[in-house]
Amino acid sequence: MIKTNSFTTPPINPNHDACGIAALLNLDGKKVSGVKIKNMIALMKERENGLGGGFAAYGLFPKHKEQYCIQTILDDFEAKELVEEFLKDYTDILEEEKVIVRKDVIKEYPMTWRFFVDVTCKGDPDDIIKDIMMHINTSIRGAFCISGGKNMAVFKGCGWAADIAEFYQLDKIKAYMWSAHSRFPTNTPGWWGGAHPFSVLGHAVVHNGEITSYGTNAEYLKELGYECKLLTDTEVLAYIFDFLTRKSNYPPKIVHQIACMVLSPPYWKDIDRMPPKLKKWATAIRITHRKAMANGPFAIVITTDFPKPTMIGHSDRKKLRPLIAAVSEDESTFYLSSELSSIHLVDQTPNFWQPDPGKPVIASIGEPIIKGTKEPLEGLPIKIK
Amino acid sequence: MKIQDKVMPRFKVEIDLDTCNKCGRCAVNCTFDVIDFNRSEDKPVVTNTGNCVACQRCAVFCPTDAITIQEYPVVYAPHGTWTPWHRRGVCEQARTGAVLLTGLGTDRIYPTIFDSLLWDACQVTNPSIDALREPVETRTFLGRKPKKLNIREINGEFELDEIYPNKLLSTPLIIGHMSLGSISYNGHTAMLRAVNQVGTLFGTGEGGLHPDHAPFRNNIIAEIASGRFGVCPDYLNAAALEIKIGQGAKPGHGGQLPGEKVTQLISDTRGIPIGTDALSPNPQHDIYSIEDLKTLIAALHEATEYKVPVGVKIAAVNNVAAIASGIVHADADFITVDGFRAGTGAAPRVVRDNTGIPIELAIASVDQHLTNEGIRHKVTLIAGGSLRSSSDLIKILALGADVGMIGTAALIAMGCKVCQQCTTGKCAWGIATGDPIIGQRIDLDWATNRLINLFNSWTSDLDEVLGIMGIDAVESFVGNRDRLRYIGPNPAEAKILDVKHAGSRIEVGGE
Amino acid sequence: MTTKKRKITINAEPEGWPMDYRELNKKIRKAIRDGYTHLILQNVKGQRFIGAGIKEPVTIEIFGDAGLDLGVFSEGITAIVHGCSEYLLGNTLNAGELIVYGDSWDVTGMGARGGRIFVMGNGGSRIGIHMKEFKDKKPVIVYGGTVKQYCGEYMAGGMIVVLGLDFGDAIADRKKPVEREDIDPNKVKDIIDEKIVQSDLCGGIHGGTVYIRGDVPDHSLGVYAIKDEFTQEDKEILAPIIERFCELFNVPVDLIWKKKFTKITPVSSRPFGKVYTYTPI
Repeated sequence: MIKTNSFTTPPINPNHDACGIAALLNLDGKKVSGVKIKNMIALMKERENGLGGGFAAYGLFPKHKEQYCIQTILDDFEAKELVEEFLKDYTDILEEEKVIVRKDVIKEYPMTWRFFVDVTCKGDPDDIIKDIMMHINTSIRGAFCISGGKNMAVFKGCGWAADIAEFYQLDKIKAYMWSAHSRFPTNTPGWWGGAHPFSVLGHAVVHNGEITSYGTNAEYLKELGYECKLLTDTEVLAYIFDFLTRKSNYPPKIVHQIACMVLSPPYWKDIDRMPPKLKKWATAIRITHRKAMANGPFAIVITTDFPKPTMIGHSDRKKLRPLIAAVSEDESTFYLSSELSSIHLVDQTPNFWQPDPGKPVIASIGEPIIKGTKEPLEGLPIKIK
Repeated sequence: MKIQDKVMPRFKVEIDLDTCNKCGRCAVNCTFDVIDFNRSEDKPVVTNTGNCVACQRCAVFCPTDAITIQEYPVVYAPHGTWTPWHRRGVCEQARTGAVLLTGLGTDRIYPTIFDSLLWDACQVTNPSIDALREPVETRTFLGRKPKKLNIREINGEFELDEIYPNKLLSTPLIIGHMSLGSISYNGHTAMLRAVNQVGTLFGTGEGGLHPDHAPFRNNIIAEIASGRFGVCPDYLNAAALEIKIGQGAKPGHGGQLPGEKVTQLISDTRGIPIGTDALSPNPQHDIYSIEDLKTLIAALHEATEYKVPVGVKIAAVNNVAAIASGIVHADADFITVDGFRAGTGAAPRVVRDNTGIPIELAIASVDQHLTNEGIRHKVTLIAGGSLRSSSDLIKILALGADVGMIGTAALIAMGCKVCQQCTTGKCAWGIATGDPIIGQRIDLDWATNRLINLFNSWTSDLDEVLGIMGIDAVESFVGNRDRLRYIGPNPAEAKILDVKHAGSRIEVGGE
Repeated sequence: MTTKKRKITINAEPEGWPMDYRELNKKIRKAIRDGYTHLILQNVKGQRFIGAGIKEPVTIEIFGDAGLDLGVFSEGITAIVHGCSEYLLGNTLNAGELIVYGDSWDVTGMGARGGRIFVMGNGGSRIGIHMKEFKDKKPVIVYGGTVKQYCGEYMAGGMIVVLGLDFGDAIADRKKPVEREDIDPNKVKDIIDEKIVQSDLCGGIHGGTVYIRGDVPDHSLGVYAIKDEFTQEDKEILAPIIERFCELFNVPVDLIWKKKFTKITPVSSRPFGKVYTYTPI
């Protein structure tokens, strides 16, 4: 490892733009290698500038599926020891391993290390892991936790997305759900932690866009106990999603619909035309979580294991970033991508569609796909007390 | 009065008799006895220029523009410390031994922090929005909000508990409290009509509710102040209720409407006999502590069956953030913070000019404090205190207010020229007067329309600015201090505002 | 004298991976310079800017999915895509004809100054945004399927037609890039009116016309757009466009006229005249 600067410390002024996103979910729960997702993202090379790429993969560790996998990138062994010591205060480390990487793809890279842990201290284990991740990322010198969910991990770094895939040998890894991101930032290189997906617990977000409501969202999140310190606006999306799903106690069957409605609520003029019950729901959701609305251009893919493995494609209300959804002809695979051609590259005959602006596409194993062509709560048995 | 008591006039009124057409309108319009019409000579005469307050009524109504009003050309010897303003003040108090009473907001030149702030716009990385053609939403809800909703799944159905009542505002702008009596019947009615048509609110002050105004109750914030005038179950049936602790122009100070101003109209509205003093004590004598405030809020909630948002209005004072926090804990649904520049019908000048803190600092501080305590989401924050233009409104929203509140701007829309004579009740424009005849100088339809225009144009300005920032709903802008930059001289100020200095690079990028 | 049309085929995926767009476009420009008038591009997978800025009257036939900005700034090419096109199809198009046997997403024909765009399938947001016309140059966009929000936004001239047809069942072999012969005219179906257009249709339109085959609810109209009567004159204006569409995509002309069109026009050419005031203050 040649190290000229820190991989884990954010540079002072990142500032980025358009990116490519791609994702696929095997609707039968079968695991597939990372070759397809790599090809999908690699085709959209024009959307990146070689300064960041990454992947999230689910279903990786059947042996440790009950443990949190703390996947870290580390500047040096000293950082690893600091992380380990810190983890021991709050968790049992059942196993740890160095993530094997190809050394001939990327010139400068950090060490990637993962720890499988059980939380031992008192409190909600998810919250503790969330706090552990935040602490590592903001306070442990030379270390950055890139994911901390169960049975999933994020692989990311500075480089072209295809190179990052090679580097982490994703062709040898199998997962039932994949998302990918290729980045076009204009910041200084060397900031591996800033690549995408951005992950907290079992959620991973890949994002093409810019959140103009960042200031408002970050303030709201501060109220809810999330500090935004990682200098990427994707962070607010991940935390908002985490709060609305995991912390909200909203019914599991509609929790993703509600979360998406908060991020891109219907316009008031559309709410005004809704049937009375839906109108009350939409109004209550919008005004209660008004500061969680994500404004500005975005297309995102959220992959999550809460409450069950689900992939969501979502966009801003004005549809200022591209997003195409598709299902393979045999209905075994669900795709999302910035560009249709990348789906066609790996599947010749998919049924594809463009989701409506601000309406989420939601796919999870064993459920009919919500196609993003109407309000997510429309047609559901809802009532008011 | 001895000759030495004389103070030189402030303004000199001149009528150019060459262009004057002798119509006499100037004399009829002047309510300060400056101009008289000399019938024998058939011409207007300036009889007492010393009474002139530069309200421009005569000049505006002169069909030939023959009237000029200038600063009186007898100068005070220049002095950097002893300004004419100070010298006049000393003289008046030496003459009368009295407290100087004044109207509207402070006329002292304090630095205005609004003028040290600039906002952001989109370039390249995010597209700006064309607000004329694509939706930009300004709808705002006043009232308490929960941290999260209560939703359950019961037998395959999803059930939502209804949330607290919230009052819908079409735009985040309201007219702050001004009572009938301090404002003429027509002025008051025009403001009610305007907010009704715009879909927003007007605070009717400590003045009770005139029977004629009952149809506007859904646009009224009814005030519960220390005098409790006209407070009855019917009065409480309003869009929102506001407990007035203080107002920005005179924090800690009550008010008194002298008996001679309690006319038939005021008597009907406040529910007191004609000719009696209408006194609003300094404190509310059932609120000596935060627990007492909680009690009063609860009483109002009970009395209105929890259907009407109940808020508290406080003046921006040093400890405003902690006080606001106490108010949230006391279960208020909204908080109105009134900055030290706010206007008034009458206040001691020494209080008006020196008490409290600017609204910009107060709101930023309240917003941050409530956020840190995790309770900001619960309440609607209303901010007032001389919002002079749409840009002040926009900046106060970014600093953390949900809603901006205007008073003086609304009066200016109806003809006010900011001569600060509200306290005299002589307002030549028929606005700040209890005189039923002068009060009719306001044409109701005209004034209503002017106010509606003001609301609409400020809302359009807000739309445009949100659009250039790439934001399509105002709730994504409230408290978005990230989009403001500071260009003033004082870094401490920027720090309290939590606004970066202009030129600071953005630390958070998009993807 | 008849000259034989000179054809050339370019494989956009020669080595098992799609060619970089720069290389592909270089080959295209070279072929045109070499006098070829009919270029066939095989295995296209999202390469961008095909036909960018070209003003020679050549035909470019694309098998696969065209990348974004197909035909950008071009003036007189014919591009035929047997597949889909990414967004920004015909961006600032000046003349020519762009034909897509598939879908084409957002911002098609942005700022177009002339030319015609025919898309068999569906469109995304902001179709025909700020198209304009000048003298005899009147851009036309026809979508066979549906479009989303902000269709015809700020439109200043030209014509947008949305037909609401579903070709889903009419295409037998989905593995193969779609050509005219693959479309079964008897299996083209109508899409229900509610799905043909979405909100903010023609927001801020101040010139040109939009024809929607089906009813348009008032709440779908954007600011300063109004519905106008569809007259015999409109039918005559539309007829040649419809005929061309039917010819391209093998649709019976009768089918098109079975449903009523809704015509959308601007309130005025200066809809926002009262928004600003110029009085010195």
